[in-house]
Amino acid sequence: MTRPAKLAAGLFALFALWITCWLPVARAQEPAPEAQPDAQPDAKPTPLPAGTIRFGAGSKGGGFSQTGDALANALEQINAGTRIHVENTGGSCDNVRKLARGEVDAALVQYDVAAEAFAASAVGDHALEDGAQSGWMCELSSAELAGVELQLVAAIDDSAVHVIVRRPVRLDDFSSVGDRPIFVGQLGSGSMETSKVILGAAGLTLDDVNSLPIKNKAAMTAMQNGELLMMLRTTEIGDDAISGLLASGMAGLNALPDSVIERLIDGFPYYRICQIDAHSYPGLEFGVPSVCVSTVVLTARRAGVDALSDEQVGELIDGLRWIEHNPVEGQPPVSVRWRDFAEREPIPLHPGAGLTERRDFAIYWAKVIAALALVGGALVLLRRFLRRKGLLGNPLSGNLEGQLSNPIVPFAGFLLIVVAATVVVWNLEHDSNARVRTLNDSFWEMNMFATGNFDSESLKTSTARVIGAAATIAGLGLLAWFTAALTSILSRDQMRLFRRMRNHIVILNFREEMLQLVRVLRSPGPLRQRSIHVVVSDTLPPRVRAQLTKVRGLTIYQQNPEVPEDLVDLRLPRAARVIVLQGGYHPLRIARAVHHACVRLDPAARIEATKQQHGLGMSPSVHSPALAGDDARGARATVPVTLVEATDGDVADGLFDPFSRWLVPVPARQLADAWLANACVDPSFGELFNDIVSFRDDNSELYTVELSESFHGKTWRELRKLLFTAQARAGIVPIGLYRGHQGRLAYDASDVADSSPQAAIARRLRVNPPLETVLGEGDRVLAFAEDEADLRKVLKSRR
Amino acid sequence: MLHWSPASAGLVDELARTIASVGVNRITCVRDGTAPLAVRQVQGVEVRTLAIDVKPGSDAYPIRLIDDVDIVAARSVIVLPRAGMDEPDSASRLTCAAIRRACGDALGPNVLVEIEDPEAAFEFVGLGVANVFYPGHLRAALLGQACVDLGVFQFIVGLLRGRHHVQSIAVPERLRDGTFADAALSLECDSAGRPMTVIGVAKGRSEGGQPINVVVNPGPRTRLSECVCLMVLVTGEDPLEQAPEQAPEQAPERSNSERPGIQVGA
Repeated sequence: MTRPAKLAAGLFALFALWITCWLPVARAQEPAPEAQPDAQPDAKPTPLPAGTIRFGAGSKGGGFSQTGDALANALEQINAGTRIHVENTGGSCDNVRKLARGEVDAALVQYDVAAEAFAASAVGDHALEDGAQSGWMCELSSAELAGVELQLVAAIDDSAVHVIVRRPVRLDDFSSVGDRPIFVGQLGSGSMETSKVILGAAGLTLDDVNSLPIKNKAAMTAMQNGELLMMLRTTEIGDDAISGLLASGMAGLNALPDSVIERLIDGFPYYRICQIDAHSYPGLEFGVPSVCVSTVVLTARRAGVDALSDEQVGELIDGLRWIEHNPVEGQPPVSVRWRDFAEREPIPLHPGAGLTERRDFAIYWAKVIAALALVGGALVLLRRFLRRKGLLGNPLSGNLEGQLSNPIVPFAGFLLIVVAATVVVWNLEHDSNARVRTLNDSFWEMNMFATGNFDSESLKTSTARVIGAAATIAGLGLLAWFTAALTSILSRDQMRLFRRMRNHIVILNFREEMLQLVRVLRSPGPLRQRSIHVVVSDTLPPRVRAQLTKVRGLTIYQQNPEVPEDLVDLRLPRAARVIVLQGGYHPLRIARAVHHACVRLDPAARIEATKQQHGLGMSPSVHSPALAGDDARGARATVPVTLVEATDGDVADGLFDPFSRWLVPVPARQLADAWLANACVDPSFGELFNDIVSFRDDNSELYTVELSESFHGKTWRELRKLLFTAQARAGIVPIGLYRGHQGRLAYDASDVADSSPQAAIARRLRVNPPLETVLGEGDRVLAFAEDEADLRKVLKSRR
Repeated sequence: MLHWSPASAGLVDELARTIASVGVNRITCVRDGTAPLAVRQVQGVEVRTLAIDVKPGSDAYPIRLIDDVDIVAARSVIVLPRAGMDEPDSASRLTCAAIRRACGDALGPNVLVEIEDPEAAFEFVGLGVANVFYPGHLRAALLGQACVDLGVFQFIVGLLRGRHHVQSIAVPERLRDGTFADAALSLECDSAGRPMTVIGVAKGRSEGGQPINVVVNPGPRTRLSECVCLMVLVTGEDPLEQAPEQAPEQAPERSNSERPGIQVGA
């Protein structure tokens, strides 16, 4: 290129740049001759002061115009450098066209119309043939939007689609409307465009219905007069006119069918699913599913030049925020947003709005972080304070195993998962998924997921489905953990119950033949839940040991029962009964060891001995013939009631006499001989005896139960009558009394000073007492009953 | 008592004490092997000790039982475990079979067998054994009861020691249409005027008229028309000894020649 040619090209480029930069500014500063409101076609254009924004609102007195006026006022209130000139227009459709033509600099537009216009502009310049119609909303054509890039200043409020139906009609399907008159919106309004889309989602066009071409006010009157079957109104929730109509009882709100909502969102993601909440209108008791569309402030970039500068947009936003904080009475509340007001938001933000959004974002998170830091700091101070006061334990003393077995941990985790999934899924889909319209819907949906009921159809987006799947897997895992922890606790408690060292039964010197004893102790009856501790010798055959290990609640010890030190771990003073069997070790030496372990080696006994120099204590259970060990809660160390399997010679020789206060010899062979002798003279004795001593579910056993005060003074005959006629699970057969002494205890230690507890028990047991025997304090009835609880229940009911 | 040994001396004493009260006055103790016949008195009861030197499984054993001890006429027979044998219960089974052969078609005595292995009880089915007794079960039951309630334990010991008796009495005619509660409330004393308690009923009788299917505490509404007799608990000396012909309405039934079938003792 030659030098003159280069110079000419440079000059041309400078000129072009000047034209590009200056022309839009000049247009913005000077009102365009076309920017005349439709309502005043003949009005002479008035020159606007420099810096004034031409603001497209709506019809005079309409909602858009009121919002425009409020914004103008707000700008004055905040002393903004920018002023707006509110221009009356035909509504959203008209505003988009005026923006495209440069007749206004900013305008209020329903977002569905705006998004459609944006989509049409993106198609490019496709001129329609003569007579051809545009299918875009407002019949916008791509040609008239060519070179125009719509920009979002802010979304400011929401309008919900109201399906108002004459009462008592309920519509599940819009096709059932038929030819009956309906109203879908004022011609040219965004509301009507929305209605068209909704009808389309129901498979209908405007030509398929009998829509009356009337104004909003006339439509309300017609509905009030019962002349309309249905109205579709897109307006803010809580609209006064609709409230009045519903309050009259002539019409009710109908839910938008789910299928329509789904199709609508799929085809036109500029809406979002919302709910007209209960009590928003008179008589509305339940939330009504619907779709919402936002009103946005739009501006445009024409031929590469922004209609508004960043500063102007910033001041507009400030004005809108002022309205947000100072709502105008009678107007819908304003909420300034840039995101999350529609399922999809294709229109880009104006650079000035983007700057404000980023700044707000930064401020918001700075506040959150500051708040978190404050809370964290407060917690640290609180922890330090509590530790100083000794109210907080050392965290290192806890352990992971303990946390794993704590069911609260998985339960809390489950709740956390559900709550987190609820919030995230709701955030992702509440605008587009009719099943998660509200947080409540989302919560229950995620509860289903987390309990294993995954349903891919419930959620629409892949992200939400991934979260749902994660919630399902995590929820199932946590529930399994929770169940395992609970099971562990219960089984541990069960183990603790069976291994507990209180009111337990200790069997010393166990031998193989006494497996039958263990079976008896584990048969249905009062002893079934008692823990059994068996001391075996190393000569016990392994197969017997294996059998013992299968018995529930039985603990095996391999120790020498003649060594007192070996018995200390068995906590003998707290035992309900100690049974000493014949076997490899001598029962007498074992009895001595029991005594020694209780009164010399037991820790409680040693402590007690240092406090008071009392003689040998007796187990309270010796005093009372009732279930062994029930009263073994005294502070003093005691020797438990000990049953010794004795031989005839042992008893005759008085081998165990020194221990008679706490030891009961059971001459098993002698009693076996007695059994044989009785069975010899009476063959039915065996069957009867077996029935009496066996604890089974299908027979009665003998129990003694203390008689309450209400029975004192009554005779044995009266008690017999009361019990014989009582019908419990089976019946009650009283056979005798165990006479009391001074209340609850059967006798005092002084009573047996010259005798033994066993002798006292035998003496006080009265089988078949005289019928006129008067019952007294401490008396216990001896009776056959299905179980002890049965006897107690009957005695309680027969007071 | 078959397969008796001196180790069972206590049983002889206990048996002598018990049978003396029901009018039986002889106990024959049969040892294994050879020994001369010995006779002595225990608590007023004649106790004869003799020996049979043939094995229970042999054909001669039933004959010896008939010839030496007149087994058919015995009121009761106790078969003890043979001492010094690996399988004493098996020997007892052969002994019971020999008793059965010795009795032939006769009803025979009331047979009780003491076993060492509780699982062997069912081997005696069909041999005319009234009670199979396993002492380990009795020990376990006694110790178990002592664990639960010492008062109840004392009662059971009293029952074994003869301080208390369970007897059967016929259902009085006037109570035939009544209930168990009616009988329990109306039958307060025995013929000697001592308090007694109706504790159960028997719902059947063996071939020899002995009460079987005894139910203790059958429930107050049990119809007496469904029962064959009442079971009563009497305390003190055996009333039969005092007044054998008297009972509240009818003398207690003391026939003991029946075979109620296998019963694992205690």
